[in-house]
Amino acid sequence: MPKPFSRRDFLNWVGAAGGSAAVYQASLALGLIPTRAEAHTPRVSLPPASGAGRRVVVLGAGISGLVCAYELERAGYAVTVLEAARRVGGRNLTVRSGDVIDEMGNPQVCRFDDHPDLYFNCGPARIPAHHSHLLNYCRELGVALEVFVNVNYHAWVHDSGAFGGKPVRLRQYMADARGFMAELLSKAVNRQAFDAPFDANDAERLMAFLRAYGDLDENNLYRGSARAGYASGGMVEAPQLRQPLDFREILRSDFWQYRMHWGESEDQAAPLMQAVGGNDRIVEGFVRHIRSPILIHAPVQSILLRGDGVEVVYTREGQLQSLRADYCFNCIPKHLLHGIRNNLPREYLAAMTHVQRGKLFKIGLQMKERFWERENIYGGITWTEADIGQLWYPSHGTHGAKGVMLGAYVFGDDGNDRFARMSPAQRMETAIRSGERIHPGYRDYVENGVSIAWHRMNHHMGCSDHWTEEARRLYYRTLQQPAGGRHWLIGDQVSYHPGWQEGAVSSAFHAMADLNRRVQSGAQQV
Amino acid sequence: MIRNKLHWLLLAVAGSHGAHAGADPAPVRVTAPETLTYCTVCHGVELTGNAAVDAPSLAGLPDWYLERQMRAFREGWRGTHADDPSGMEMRPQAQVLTADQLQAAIRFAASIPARTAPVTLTGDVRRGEALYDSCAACHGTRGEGNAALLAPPLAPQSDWYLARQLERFRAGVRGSAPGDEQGALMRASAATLPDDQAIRDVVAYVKTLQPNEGEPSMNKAAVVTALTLGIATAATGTVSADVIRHPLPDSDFPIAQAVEVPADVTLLYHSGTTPSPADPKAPRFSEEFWGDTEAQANSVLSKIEQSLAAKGSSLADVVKMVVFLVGVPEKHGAMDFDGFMRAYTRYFGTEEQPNLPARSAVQVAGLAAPGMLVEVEVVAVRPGTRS
Repeated sequence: MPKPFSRRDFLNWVGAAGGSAAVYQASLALGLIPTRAEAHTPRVSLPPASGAGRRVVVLGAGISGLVCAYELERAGYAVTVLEAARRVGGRNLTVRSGDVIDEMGNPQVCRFDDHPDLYFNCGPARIPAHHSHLLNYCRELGVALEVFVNVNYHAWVHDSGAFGGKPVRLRQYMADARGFMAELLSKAVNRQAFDAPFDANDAERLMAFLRAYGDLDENNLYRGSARAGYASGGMVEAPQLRQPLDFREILRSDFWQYRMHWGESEDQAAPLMQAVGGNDRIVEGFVRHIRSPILIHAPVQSILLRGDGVEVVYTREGQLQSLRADYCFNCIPKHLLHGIRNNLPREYLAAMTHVQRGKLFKIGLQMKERFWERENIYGGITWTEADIGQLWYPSHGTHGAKGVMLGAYVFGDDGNDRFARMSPAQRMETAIRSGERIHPGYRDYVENGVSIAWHRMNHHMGCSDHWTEEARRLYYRTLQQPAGGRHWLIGDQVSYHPGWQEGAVSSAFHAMADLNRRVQSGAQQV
Repeated sequence: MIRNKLHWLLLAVAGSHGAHAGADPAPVRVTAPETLTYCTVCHGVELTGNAAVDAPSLAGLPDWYLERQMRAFREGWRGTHADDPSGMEMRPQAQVLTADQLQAAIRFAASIPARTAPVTLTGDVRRGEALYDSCAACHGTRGEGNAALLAPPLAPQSDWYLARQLERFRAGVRGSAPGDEQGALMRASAATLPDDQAIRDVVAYVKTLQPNEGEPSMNKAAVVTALTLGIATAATGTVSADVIRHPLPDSDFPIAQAVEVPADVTLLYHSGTTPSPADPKAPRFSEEFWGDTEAQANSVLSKIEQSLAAKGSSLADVVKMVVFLVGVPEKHGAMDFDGFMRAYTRYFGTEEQPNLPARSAVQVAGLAAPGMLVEVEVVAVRPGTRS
């Protein structure tokens, strides 16, 4: 029997719909929230010198590999890092003037001007405030941060299927959508549709809530709102409200499906951060502080678990080299591990086949003018239903001469495959044509650009793994466990946060804590 | 066929262990030349393929086939169809190589011996065997391929890849481009497979065929080039000189009476090798299909030559040979020893290759397939492997 819609239900619902602020305040009053937030994963704590006399080989110098090298060497382990590429950082890749983008079959050279503001974060570009481990490392490693504008109410919502294909401001869309929703609900309340569980006082407060939520007038009608931005005036002339959008058009556009609530999702809520000068400053921070050898351009050829350790063969300058260690931390993408000779347990390898490699495509464009600033846009994201998905305006270099903006960020495998198959020139042309529909004259601002198809990048061939619920249930624990008690698969690929550096750090912590437990208990074999 | 079935059982057991899983402790032996690491990122460090990134095995593919496919990708008769996403991924990589890199890539890939790919599909092997009859004409009864017909070997290839290519040929995704005559032939053949189950069945049967494991698919010149490129562990010198070959007393018959091999030399025990069909289009197992004893012996010795070359050895390093011959009607049921010797003397006791092995030749009642007349096994030393 369904339960009646009670006051408690309603308040829960208001909390959910209106964001967590109200719930937080209430809970704080009740003493339910600790004064200091708990981290999602405890920071690994390796006792000093606990690794003395023990050798570790780290495969891959992505964020998780670097975290392992940094922490393990401080605990006395003898660490060697092997990296297949000619650079460190994995998917934390920032390109600047002259950098090579090592895509399979489509090598590109970045032609941006040589200027500190003109860079493009090809991989991770924003750090949520609750990704505390990564932020802690930024503090510890001396990596300067600045605010990254994610949601921008002045940016555009573009949908060729609504509003006659004309872009509308995000604030207008959201204000109007909420106004109409509140007005509709107020009519339901007036008809006493909820009369059973509400008394008169509740209903009155609900009406007040709706007026505030939707910016309704005293008659509970939505007639437009300053939240949508004025049509004119507002400073020395009387403000004129915008004519509200046609609600049917709002419904017709897809923006409300998830994009409208983007800034409320777990990892997208303001404020977010970025490293000053490019996010690879984080990689540089690790490299500055790691004393252990990091061998670049040393692709791993085989990983063999032996009774007393792990034997890794890699090449350097065309020669096979062999390295023996007691333990191995491996952040090589698991879809590439199948091509590397190994004797990992059967169930371990089988588990990997149930996780699909992700695909992601981005374009960075150097613009000769920061035209968006003339449209009152400073940072943030414009959304479009067109193939390019998003446009990002840089959060840094404000009012500078030029800027590098993101010209495409494609969601969905099909779209990503479509762009990946184009030549770099075709990709640029496609991105420019779509951008032109949002910003007239866009083409003329483009000076040059780079395109990154992560599922075609050398040594990556994928990103942000796709885990199904079933794969999580059946295989996640298997891949978290050390193979033979000595080989840990690490990285965002073994976390609930694929595609985020915090997932990589947390996975490394989890694996190192496991190693530490085994070392402390003297149980080196499973 | 009985032998094939037995192999199928063995393969099924081996295959269930996954590509490199299990207890196999041997470290990697292949090194890609510096500029060719792009190949190994997807196709695997030993080019045995990686289904996770849709990359087929290249191990055991002959140079002529690799060259042709690379040309197909570069010229766009492969890798341009919208329903061939993995082909479209390969195409830019093929196009970006310089002519020299392309040749080096082909040499490198052709130097990798065939490896048994794990079984990942299930199908009705008996039904597949019947369906395979029409495939055998070009691809060979053992799926060994046929250079003259531009038909690639199938036996070493991954089953998922074979099935996918059959689907693509059948749907016209492959074999439709102008200029791709072989593809068009294959497309017509694939169209005769009635449904997806038929594809699985025939692929399941192919997986029962014995790939010539360890057999090279390249000519000797390519091996030599590959060696000089540092692809295989480079030979530091030959030990053949340390092998003492005692000649037959008072005879010019081209075998040794005995061969002495020092104790610290690496020996290769090579399995019995049987011929490839002389005319795969002829009725199966007919005389035209296999050829006579001389033709078969030529085929066998040439295959052994290539196989040894891929392992850093050669016919000059053969120290022991056993020859099995089946009797022929023209000799009233006796073996055609003279026919065998005509072939043998092209490879042994020549000015170019004077080294002679100790040898036995015997007549047997029959070999693995009807019509097969010649099987040869050898023991060879491997130069440059003195401990």
